[in-house]
Amino acid sequence: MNRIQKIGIGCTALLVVALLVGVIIINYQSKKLEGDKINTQEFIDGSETLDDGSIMYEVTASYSYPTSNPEDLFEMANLVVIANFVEDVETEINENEVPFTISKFNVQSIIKNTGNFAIGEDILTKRSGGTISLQQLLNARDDDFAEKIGANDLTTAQKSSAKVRFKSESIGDQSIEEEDTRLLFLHKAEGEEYFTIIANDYGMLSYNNTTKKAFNAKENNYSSYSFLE
Amino acid sequence: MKKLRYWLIGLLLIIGSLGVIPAASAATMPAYGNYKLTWNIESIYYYIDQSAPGYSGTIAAAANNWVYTGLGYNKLYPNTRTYNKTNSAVDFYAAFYGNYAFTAMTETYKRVNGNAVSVGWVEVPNRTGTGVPAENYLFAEIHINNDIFDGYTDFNQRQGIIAHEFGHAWGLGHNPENPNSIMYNWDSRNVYTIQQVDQDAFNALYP
Repeated sequence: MNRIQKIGIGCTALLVVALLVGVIIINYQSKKLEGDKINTQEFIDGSETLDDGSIMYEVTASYSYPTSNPEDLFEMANLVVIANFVEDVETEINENEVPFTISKFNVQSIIKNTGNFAIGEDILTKRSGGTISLQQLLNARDDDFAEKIGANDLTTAQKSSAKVRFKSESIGDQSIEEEDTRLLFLHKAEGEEYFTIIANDYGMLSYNNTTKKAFNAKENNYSSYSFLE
Repeated sequence: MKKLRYWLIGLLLIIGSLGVIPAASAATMPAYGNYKLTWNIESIYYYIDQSAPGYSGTIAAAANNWVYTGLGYNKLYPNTRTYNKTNSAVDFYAAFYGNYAFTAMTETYKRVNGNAVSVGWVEVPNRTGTGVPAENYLFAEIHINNDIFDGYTDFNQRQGIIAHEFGHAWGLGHNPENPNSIMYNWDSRNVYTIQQVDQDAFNALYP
């Protein structure tokens, strides 16, 4: 066997050893976690105490939609308006469902109204999310849910006073406040009481009255849209 | 001189082989988030509420999607159904939310003890609509909107949507820039199975 062959064999052997070591390391890291549950008694105090002394918890959900493209939402909507947020009227939760909030908006201008709705000064809209009491959440779920989250350890007073905020997935800086101007993509079918805001946050885009542009979630800036011209 | 050349070649080969280990590790991409399900990921059970029995086949297919990815080692095993909700890490519900709401959504919870009861998703400033868990959590609820979900007739697409929601239950955020990822935000994603980038993120969360 000549020298080249010896070197080649030596390097190949080293390569094999190096690969084996790598595989062993990766497998070891993968097996680090053990036990059925990792210390479920540990808590991170992410709650907030409100002025009235009640505790606010937060749940933020992640949603999937068919689309959130404003041009598509415009086509889907049978009412598109520019409106100022007035207030959240109420939040409800049905059994085994997610909560929804009824909100009032003051209409500034109508962009599309293929539903031929008689639009007054204000409209009422409906979207997923909002704030309910912990007791409301427990009433909408079964005993197994209460047991899993440990609510049986709380007093009745704690369950009634604690609040739970269901926050929809935020896109950019879109936290809504009174007088905020929004471009609303809405749909109401016959027999429905409220206008549904299509695709939650994507269907209530922040709107700049001066530039006539609406928030673009993809670009994280304000953009012009053909239907606004 | 010849001897020196051979040793140089050998040295280059050794250095190259050592590069294989970090290269292999780099295939496991950084996770989309830093927080995760505290349930033992090697023994995961899901529960299907009485509101969603018709989706059991689709849910089972989506669960298998994550277990048998064909992309190498995956710590998730098994991912099977339980009829006892107190043992489940993921609970499925279904309702009619209308044709203009969401297709499906995932919420995450942890235990109450007079403190934070549920976890919030934090914004990732540079990636709109992504969201990652702000802390570890005990279990997830997945809610299916019958009105929109039933409009999808392609079984592969339907189980792909559920597989996407399972991804959220594991702690993965959205991947708005990559339609070839199961975690792409919208139902129009190009893929219905777990892709390498998704597997890598999962494995980074659960090493």
